[in-house]
Amino acid sequence: MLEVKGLYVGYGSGSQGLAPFRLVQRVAQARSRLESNGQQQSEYDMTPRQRRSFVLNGVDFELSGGKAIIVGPNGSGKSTLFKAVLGLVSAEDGTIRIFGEDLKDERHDTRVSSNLIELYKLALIPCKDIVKVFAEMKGGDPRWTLAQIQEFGLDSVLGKKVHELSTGQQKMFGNLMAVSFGPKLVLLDEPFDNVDEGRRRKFLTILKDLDAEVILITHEFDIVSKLDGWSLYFMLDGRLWGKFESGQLDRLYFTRGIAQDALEVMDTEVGKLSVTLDHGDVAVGMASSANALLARV
Amino acid sequence: MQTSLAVCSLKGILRNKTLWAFAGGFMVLWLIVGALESTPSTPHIEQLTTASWFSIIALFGLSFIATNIARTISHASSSLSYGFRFTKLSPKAYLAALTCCASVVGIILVILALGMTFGLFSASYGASMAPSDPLSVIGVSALVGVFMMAFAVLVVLVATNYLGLRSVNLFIFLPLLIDTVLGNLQMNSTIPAAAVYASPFNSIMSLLYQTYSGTPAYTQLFNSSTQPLEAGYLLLSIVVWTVALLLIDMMLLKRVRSGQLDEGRQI
Repeated sequence: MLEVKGLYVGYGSGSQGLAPFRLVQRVAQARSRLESNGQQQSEYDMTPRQRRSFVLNGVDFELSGGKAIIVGPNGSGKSTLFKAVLGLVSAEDGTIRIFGEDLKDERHDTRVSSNLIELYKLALIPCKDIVKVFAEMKGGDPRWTLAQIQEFGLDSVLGKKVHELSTGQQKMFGNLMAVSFGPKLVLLDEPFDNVDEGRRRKFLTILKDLDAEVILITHEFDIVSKLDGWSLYFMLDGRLWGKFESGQLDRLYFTRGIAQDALEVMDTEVGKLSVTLDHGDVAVGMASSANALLARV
Repeated sequence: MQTSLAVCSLKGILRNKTLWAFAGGFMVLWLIVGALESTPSTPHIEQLTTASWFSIIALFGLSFIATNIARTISHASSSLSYGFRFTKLSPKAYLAALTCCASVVGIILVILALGMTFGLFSASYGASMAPSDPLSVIGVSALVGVFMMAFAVLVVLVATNYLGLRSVNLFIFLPLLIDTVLGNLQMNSTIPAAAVYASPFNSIMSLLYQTYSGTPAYTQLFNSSTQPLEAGYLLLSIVVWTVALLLIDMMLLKRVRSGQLDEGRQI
């Protein structure tokens, strides 16, 4: 179970000064002024220019016992969201709770895993040893992972160090590590990037059968159409919009401006975009990727 | 302790060709230079000359451990940050694993340095230049390996947590730079005894010299007209520094921050 509330993450979070932090403070002060005057909090607290100070602009997200896909163009903040959830970047504001525990208090919770390859660069040792080390650290059995690596035709990676792998090999190694050792919450960042069709199909089967909550981020709609029954969210300019259903993909449209029967109105840097059902400017299912979709809108 | 991590990391360091080529190559090169430039003298002076070359070259060799560990940790900041939250790994267990690796590698490196020094200087002087107390040399080298590891962890964590990724690449070689400056300082000039005791690097060099030569080290390493150094204080200095650094490392590891990967790519 993952609960993210009002999450703000600045660029170069934690290492490039306090500007985003101060901006969040100003927003919080403005909010409390409005509330103390009995006024409703404005829907958008920041100007578009202010929002550009952040990779994540007040993300709210909840996953409880399901599987979700987040689709967004490159640079929309998808990977940063995962890094924030994993504690790899610090948030300027907001809370993250994993299985009810605040991220700040998380220690030794072996239920959470991800395919981010930097997580597996613990030591400059071959991947075979990385599997064994993580099996011990997660309290699992390395045999399933080692067998899967061979099953995916990746025997050659076992003798190499993580940084020596090709991009595609790193991605598949990260994917298999993420679903190993009995995780209950799996965060998959673009798991099919640079992965060939055969391995995509095999990994999709593993994902569908996996007894865990899964959040998958991608910019490809092709993947969404293959994961029926998953929740679907859009991520634009560091904000999350949804939820929709992956099965609705062929019925969803993006329309510029505010449509009367919009399921969601997204306030983006290029203006307001409405998500509508069965009609609109551009059919989501017809676009190959989020980047292509936005270009057409 | 995470046994797999300790065993696999040790295997990783032992198989690290670059480390051994640099550390081994560096030691051989300078010991050859030392053996060739040393002129025959009385057996006592020959033994002291051999011991002084051994101590400074072993110190340099051991600092390669620190450089290697620093490089490993600089790559591992994200993994550690994740590991302490979402695996059974703890800062204590991680440091324990590194301590095992560093002490074993320290012993191996110093045995190599001992062998090379003995062989090259014995050949040069035409007489046996065996260390007076090889077991003590090996014991000290295990401790020095741990000190170097603890120092490397400190350097990288300060750079990662507080100074940003750009600094990490510069800081990796800090142990080697400090060794060079302080080691040469004590070889070529007299420094106050308190400064030697306060400096772990000079204490290490002095203690290695003392255990090899069987005579006290001096404030100018082998110059008996300067103040002699107490072996007990030298050992105490290294132990205190090592324990203090390990405690600081533990605190810093709890707050380890992931290196900014996008910035890393730019570099």
